[in-house]
Amino acid sequence: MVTATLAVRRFDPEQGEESRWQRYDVELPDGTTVLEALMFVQEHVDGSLAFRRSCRHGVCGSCGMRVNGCARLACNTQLAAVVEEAERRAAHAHHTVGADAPDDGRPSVRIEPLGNMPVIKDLVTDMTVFWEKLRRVQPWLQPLDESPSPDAERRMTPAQYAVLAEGLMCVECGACYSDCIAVEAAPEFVGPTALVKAYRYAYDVRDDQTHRRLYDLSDEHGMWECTRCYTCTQRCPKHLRVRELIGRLAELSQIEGLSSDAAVKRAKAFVEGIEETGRVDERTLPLATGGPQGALGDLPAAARAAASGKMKLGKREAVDDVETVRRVVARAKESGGTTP
Amino acid sequence: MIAHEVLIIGAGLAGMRAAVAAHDAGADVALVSKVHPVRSHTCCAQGGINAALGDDDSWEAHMFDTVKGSDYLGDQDAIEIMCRAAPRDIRAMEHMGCPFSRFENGRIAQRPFGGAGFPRTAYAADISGFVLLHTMYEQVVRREIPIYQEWYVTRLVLDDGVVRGVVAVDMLTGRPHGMSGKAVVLATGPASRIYESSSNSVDCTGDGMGMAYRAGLPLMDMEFVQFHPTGLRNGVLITEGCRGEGGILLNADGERFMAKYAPNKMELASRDVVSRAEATEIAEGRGIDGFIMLDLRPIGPERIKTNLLQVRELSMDIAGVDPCEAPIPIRPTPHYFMGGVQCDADGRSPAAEGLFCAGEVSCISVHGANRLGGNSLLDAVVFGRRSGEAAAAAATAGGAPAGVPQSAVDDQEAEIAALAARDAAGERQADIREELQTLMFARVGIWRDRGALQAGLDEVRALKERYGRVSLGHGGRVFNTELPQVLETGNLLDLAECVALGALNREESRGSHARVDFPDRDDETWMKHSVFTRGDDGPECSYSPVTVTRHPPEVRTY
Amino acid sequence: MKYAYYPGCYAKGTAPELDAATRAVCEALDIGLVELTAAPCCGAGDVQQIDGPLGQTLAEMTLAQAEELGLDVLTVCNVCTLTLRQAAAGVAEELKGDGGGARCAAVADPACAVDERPGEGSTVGDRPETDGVPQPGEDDGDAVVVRPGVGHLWPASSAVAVKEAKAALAEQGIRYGGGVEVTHLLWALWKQVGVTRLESLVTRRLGGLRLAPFYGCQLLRPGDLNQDDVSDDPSALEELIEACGASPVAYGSRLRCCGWPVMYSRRRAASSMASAAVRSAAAAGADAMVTPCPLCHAALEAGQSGDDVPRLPILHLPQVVGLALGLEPSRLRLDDHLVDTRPVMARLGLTFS
Repeated sequence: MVTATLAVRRFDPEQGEESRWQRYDVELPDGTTVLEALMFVQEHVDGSLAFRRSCRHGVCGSCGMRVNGCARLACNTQLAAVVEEAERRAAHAHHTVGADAPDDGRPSVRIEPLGNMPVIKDLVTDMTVFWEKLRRVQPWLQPLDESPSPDAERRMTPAQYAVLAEGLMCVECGACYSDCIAVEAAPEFVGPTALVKAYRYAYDVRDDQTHRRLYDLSDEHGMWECTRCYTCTQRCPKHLRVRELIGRLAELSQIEGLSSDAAVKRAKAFVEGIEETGRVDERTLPLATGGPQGALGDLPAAARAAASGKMKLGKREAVDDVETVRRVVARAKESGGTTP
Repeated sequence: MIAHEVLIIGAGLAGMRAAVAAHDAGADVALVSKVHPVRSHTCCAQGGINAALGDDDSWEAHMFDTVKGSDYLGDQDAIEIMCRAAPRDIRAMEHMGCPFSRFENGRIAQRPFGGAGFPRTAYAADISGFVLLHTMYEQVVRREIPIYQEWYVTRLVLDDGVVRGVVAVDMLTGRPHGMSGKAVVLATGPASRIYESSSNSVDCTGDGMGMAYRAGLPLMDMEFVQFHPTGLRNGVLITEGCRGEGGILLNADGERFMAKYAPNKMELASRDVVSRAEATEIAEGRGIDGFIMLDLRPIGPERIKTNLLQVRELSMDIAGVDPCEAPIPIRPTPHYFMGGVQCDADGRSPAAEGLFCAGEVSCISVHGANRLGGNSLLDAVVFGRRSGEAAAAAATAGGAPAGVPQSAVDDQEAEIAALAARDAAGERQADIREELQTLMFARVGIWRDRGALQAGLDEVRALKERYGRVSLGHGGRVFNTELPQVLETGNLLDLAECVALGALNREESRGSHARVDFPDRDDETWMKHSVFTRGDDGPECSYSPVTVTRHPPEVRTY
Repeated sequence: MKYAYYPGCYAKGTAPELDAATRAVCEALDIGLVELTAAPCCGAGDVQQIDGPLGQTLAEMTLAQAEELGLDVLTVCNVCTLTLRQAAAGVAEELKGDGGGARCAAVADPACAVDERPGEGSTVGDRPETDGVPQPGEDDGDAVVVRPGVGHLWPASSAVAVKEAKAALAEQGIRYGGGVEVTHLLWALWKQVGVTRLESLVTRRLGGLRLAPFYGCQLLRPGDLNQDDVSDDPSALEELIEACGASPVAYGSRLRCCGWPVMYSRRRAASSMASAAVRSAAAAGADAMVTPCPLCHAALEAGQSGDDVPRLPILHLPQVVGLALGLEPSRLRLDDHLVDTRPVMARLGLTFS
């Protein structure tokens, strides 16, 4: 049996503006999932507890929620495992923030709604913006030929299907979006879920709008606003390597010649530095990335740095055998990777 | 007043296919769904979708397999329509962007499935339903078809046999609304949650069947519930595709026992045959803790990791077993409703003008007494399209909509208020539902006999009486999830009563309906559909003929 | 203990205090360091994002140099750690031959040699020609397209980058054969040295110093490449801080992002992330933040340029450990910070000599 104290963050819009914690003690069979525990509570203890659920085996995406601070699907999360997490957290409670649900000597499994979204009630969030962002990437096939012969499918090789396979499995649960640090910092960022969807279509051989898709996502709140924190990969309950897929979109955009974004300029500054000395010269990054205007914004910081001796003005030393590095970079430039 | 020409209730594969078809036919169409469309139960379908795409295959062969699979209860004219349409309908899905696993030459790959004489099940790894669902959702989004999501439809509104619309509760506010439609398409899916441990999502509670029944429409073939041979401990399904890829079934003696029951087809016999075989083995003591072993090791880890990736994950997460290393414990699991709202091959109900249905909620019947794997997704696609087209035609012809009377909305509001006002010490829906699920599994399961069926029917009726005292524990309006649960349990009770009654009445064994006391198929007396209409004291059962065109009934062996 | 020391670019550039402190601490703890003086920038994820094969090639050059020395790599930067580990994992997958890893089969079927022109009804054949660039199937049978032209598509797999890197390195007479482990100073201190031994060597307990540990993303995530601690609830930094006699501060941003990867390219987002972390630490009563990553260090210092952001010294991990081991602040170059560390020194009763 698994014994657990669930601390659920409740919110009832009909009862006022503040959320509150409510605890439920449960004792359930081995193998019980967090969702099964919540369903037990809702069906037999407290019918007012609201959460979404449907398939209970990780394909519908309904039951996304934060458990012990991390977004997941409740239905494929073992209760025993999160109890262990809670006990570990309690054992070094002086290192972690209490999130205003004091453990009181009884470590509790914290259950909260997904982040980066308004809360409707309890664990039910308003996913309107989330769905809109998915819409933004035009998530439907756009072939040039909209009326192929009805008696023949468009061809795709097993290898081409395999490329899509990882992106296909996204259940749109919102776990990655919930915990995306870039969305939190820049709420208009399109977010990891939409980018996975964009990947799925950009890499579909039957689609003919790859270039336009990538162009649309090369804007201010598109793929380059991702901060590479890898929280999405860490969270995905379907084990999609979300950040890696976003990186593939970025790479493809370079093959498509979409290199005017500041982030691309920054990356090119890395390459230039590496070609010269084997290392990036981080002093060049502000100007290379942001242009004169950007560098101007950094001027106060740069001045302070120079004044404090931090800037380390002067030519950088090259690594040993830098010629090999230069040849490697030159070869890469030639074969069309980093467009000069 | 919310008004659309066509209202589609349920946004799974059938519902969204209907919506797209109706939209493309020029109708003003809207979807109404109690969950967001991509949460619909279709996403659970793993195995695949059938069509005679192969050069060496034919719709005629597909038709025969389907007719035989149905144990000759399927209506052959409708089956013919489905099998003829299949290749183009599947290719149309592919054209819309649905990804499929492929052969080396780039064509849609197909694999063998139970009861089929040819490998004609097209698939996308083991997430076939999932990709079809998402493809349709994307087509709906592209067309900007309005979606009333998380609106729980509680009743159909008819006037003198003509559809006027529905009443639905907006979960966000808890308020009921009248929604007017000149044509309504029910695409609300299955009802296997009358049983405990079903493969169905938690909310597959037969709402559309229940609402149609209460509106006086006939349901058909309700006693035919398919048990899927390979469900995990909590009902989650392991696709038949595993057996198509080479997985085998073993009993406690390590024996490939299907040789005794279906020596030709073995594990790829029809689902009812395999389920009964497993149930027999378990009942006769050759199960392991009540389970049979599904051994995928012959398939090889490479292919498992490419084509059965989700199966492997589910097996590890739920059963704690890696199928590359060990067999998976499974057992027969309630899975699919062959029965449902009676309709024709355009989804048209014979008893209400403007009422259509498609997908698992419907009974045309193309599946008869037992459905072949891969034909359910096909059913949803073909008849989703047809009913959408027919609904659009019905809606755009004729005059202005009559609208839903305010009284229907007020009645719903009153019902909600009454539920909330009832003594909180009254019955809890969860208790009634769980007792129902347990009793149905025990009394109206795979093997049926008169004594158990009669007891089951009586017990369902006793629960219905208690349901009259069910109360809503919580009276809040915003996202009160208990409210739909209470109403869903009401649907389950009505439907369970029909299932039990139909099973009790049908004194033969056919397809998935297996009577211990009547073990043979009796075409002379029983080759007919059961039809259920709501009477004063519960369902009244009548019968309607089966359409036979090409294939007179034969003995059915695999 | 002996490692191939990979300082990374910042430690050799604008953060020489990190290099100095690392060497000083490793000397004091008898950790041998052989610097990889010919190792280039790892690519930092930036290069990988615009040219995967080039990034892979650069990272493998470092790994190959360590392999030649027969040593594992020790880094002092989170991004170096993850980037080198990713590169190593790519090679490991290729060596195993299953090409795709356990979870997702994003790999080509080796038996698939699709070179027939698509049949009727297909639109694949409508693609523009790609100037002699290899088409699917023209390759050695593993159907992996290398560097397609515009309009054609690139099978998304690190297998491509690894394959190309192998060829690029071969041209330079280099080969990385696999098997090099990449670790970070944090893990070497926490696991190899261990808190017990470290505590026994502490001569200057940093009592009264409240330090907010800022882990930085790429040392913890993704968990399958970073299994040194519990990714979503680590304790290494806190335990080391305690071993040094200081008090770790619990605060909400300890596992958050500093924004370095979008510094300069998405200014508002980056400064929002950095300043939020600093505010969070300050509000929790920290005297300083300590981080194992010079990029976080740079971002957190730069993030304090606004008037509404509190000033908080940002210390490198080896500087904290070095102080506790009794080393001089000037040797640890604590006087070489953008945000003045003297408040920290004062708390400890230290000055720069």
